[in-house]
Amino acid sequence: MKIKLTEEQYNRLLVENEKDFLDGDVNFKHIGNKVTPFVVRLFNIIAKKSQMTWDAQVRMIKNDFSLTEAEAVLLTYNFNNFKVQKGITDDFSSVLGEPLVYYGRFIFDTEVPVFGTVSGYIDGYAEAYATSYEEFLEQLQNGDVEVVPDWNNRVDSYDNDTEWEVDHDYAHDRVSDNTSDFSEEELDDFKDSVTIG
Amino acid sequence: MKIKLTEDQYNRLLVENDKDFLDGKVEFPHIENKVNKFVVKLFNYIHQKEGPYVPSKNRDIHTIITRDFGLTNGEAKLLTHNYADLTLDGEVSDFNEFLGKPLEFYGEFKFNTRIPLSAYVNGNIDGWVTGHASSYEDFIEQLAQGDWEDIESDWSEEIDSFPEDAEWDIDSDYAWDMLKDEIADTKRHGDMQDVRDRIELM
Repeated sequence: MKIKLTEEQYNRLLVENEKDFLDGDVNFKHIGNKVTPFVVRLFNIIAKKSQMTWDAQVRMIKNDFSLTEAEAVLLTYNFNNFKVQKGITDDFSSVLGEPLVYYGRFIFDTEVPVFGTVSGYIDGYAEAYATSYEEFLEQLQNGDVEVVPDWNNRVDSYDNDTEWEVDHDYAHDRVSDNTSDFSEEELDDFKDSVTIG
Repeated sequence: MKIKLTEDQYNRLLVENDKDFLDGKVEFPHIENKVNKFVVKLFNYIHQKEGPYVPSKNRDIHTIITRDFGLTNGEAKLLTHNYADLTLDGEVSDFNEFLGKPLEFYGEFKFNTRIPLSAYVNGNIDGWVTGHASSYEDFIEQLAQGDWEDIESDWSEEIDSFPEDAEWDIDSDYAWDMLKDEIADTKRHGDMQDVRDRIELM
């Protein structure tokens, strides 16, 4: 299959950085940052398989073209983007040389709030009103007493047995709060906490 | 007001220990272990004030005994219990008929034991939030909107927890079970004296 280029597309392919995304923070082994003849061919093949889900498209790009998961996700995103934005249905030759939009996994390092239930013991007593020791003993046996801890005593607890869980609601609120007021100037600091991949 | 005694009642009042309950374990400053003239007067007064006894009147009766007769909380509990006991079988118009009758002990016992507790504790662990985005700005937006995909943590890391903030609660279900098991075990091994030694009267 031959692909025709306009002069502008041809020039763009010649002079621009062909690998990097996000100002050089990311590049991929098998694909560049623009639509190459290989990408056009890939898009055209995907386009022929109509009614594929996002996951199926990613899977197909990975398996049939031996690309990585990250490359497949980025290409799937761009394939669907071109389809919607440019109304392309079968032949993607017209986007040859167009920049690919980066789309990938970002990881933000943060402190995760967790919660757990911890167990312990404290000295205290069980109490009840009774007419005799025997009656009180029967109440103890029937659990018919009130259990009263003496809070002046120390609690013996077993922290190591705690089963921790992520406090999702609080995590949600806290990450939102911590990131909702980032200014442009703080972007570099933010990038230090982010990993891409 | 004169009180008539049978010979039997009179003899009992003469010879028996008038103070102790539970083989000498308890005694009270203002009352004895039998219905004496003072108790008869007290019961008649309650009857006059409160009318026929019903259990819901216990609190009011207790209040009358402590407030109008200046007795202690423990004495009032015991007398309320005995008043209820005496009227259980029907209306009593004059409590004279019970003069000399032993009062039944009724008081608060406590058994010293260990109580299981549980508490909800908070902490922090190092972790990360992930999401797919097309730029740092897009990702920040997702974070700010709480629109990320996953939050994960490295559970091999140490958790900074704050157990000193723990608000302890009695683990009630476990406490009952533990107490019952403890008594049952002791009973099985025939060492009830150990249990008895840990019981105190309050």
